Amino acid sequence: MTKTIMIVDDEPHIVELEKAILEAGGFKTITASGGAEALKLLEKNKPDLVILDMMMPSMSGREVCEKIRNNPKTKGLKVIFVTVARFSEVGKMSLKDMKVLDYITKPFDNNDFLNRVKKIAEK
Amino acid sequence: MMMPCLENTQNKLALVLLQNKRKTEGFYEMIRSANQKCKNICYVCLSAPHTDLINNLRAENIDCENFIFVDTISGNSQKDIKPGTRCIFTSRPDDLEGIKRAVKHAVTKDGCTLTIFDAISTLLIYQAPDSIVRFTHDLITDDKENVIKKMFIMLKSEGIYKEESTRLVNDLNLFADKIVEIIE
Repeated sequence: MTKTIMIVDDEPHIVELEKAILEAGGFKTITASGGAEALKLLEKNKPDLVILDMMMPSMSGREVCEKIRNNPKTKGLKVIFVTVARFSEVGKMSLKDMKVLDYITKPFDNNDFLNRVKKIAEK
Repeated sequence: MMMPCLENTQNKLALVLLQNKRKTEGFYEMIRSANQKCKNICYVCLSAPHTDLINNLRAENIDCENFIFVDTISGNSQKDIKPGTRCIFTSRPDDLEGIKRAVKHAVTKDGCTLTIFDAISTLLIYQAPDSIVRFTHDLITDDKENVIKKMFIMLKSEGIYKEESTRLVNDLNLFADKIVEIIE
């Protein structure tokens, strides 16, 4: 069965890029341009994986993830982060606590991005 | 004494949490130690003019010769600059691009190996937390070789900005190699 990935990023060109890579890789996609929109979409959709940009206006990726984990309906969702900056060792421990399964640094290699998403979405 | 928050060479980014605006001996000890360890320090003044800061540092027996100040408060009025003081002025504290340019200059032209932002939480008066996090990300990613140490000083409870302050601390926590809380 085709897996569905939710892409959450405030930068439209990143959304388009990730969408194109994932759809070419056989996934269905749902997109949101911010945290509030993503949380609203999650009320009616249950994607197999959520890809969260770390830095977004109004609500950061961390905050969206926190809200996902605090909602009984969404707390079990698989989440990965996309970020432009490196996470520190302390930060990586926090990601584990938030049950974030991976993080991908921008700019990314398209094949690497697809492979890492596949690995987690199909687990 | 080693520089208490960035003593490990692998640690490049420290988040220093203060209880309130009053700087304690623990804070000055940290600055004193940094001053002994680092050749040139870029000190970004976000809360007070560099002249006030120099007076405070000197009162604590901290020699300011190593410091290159980025004064975001005094505007373009440079009349108060003290002889022998190295200072770069930016137009306003919310001019994040101007601050980035000044820091870049201090690092590339003046060879600063440590940048201190005092206090990054002051920016909450002018900017939303995500803009400040983006600003800090830019500072991290601009340093491609990751060689410049950065110290972000943050007031833990920033008055009416308490909620934003908490958001900022939680987001910056993900990128900080070391988090130091200075207890009074």
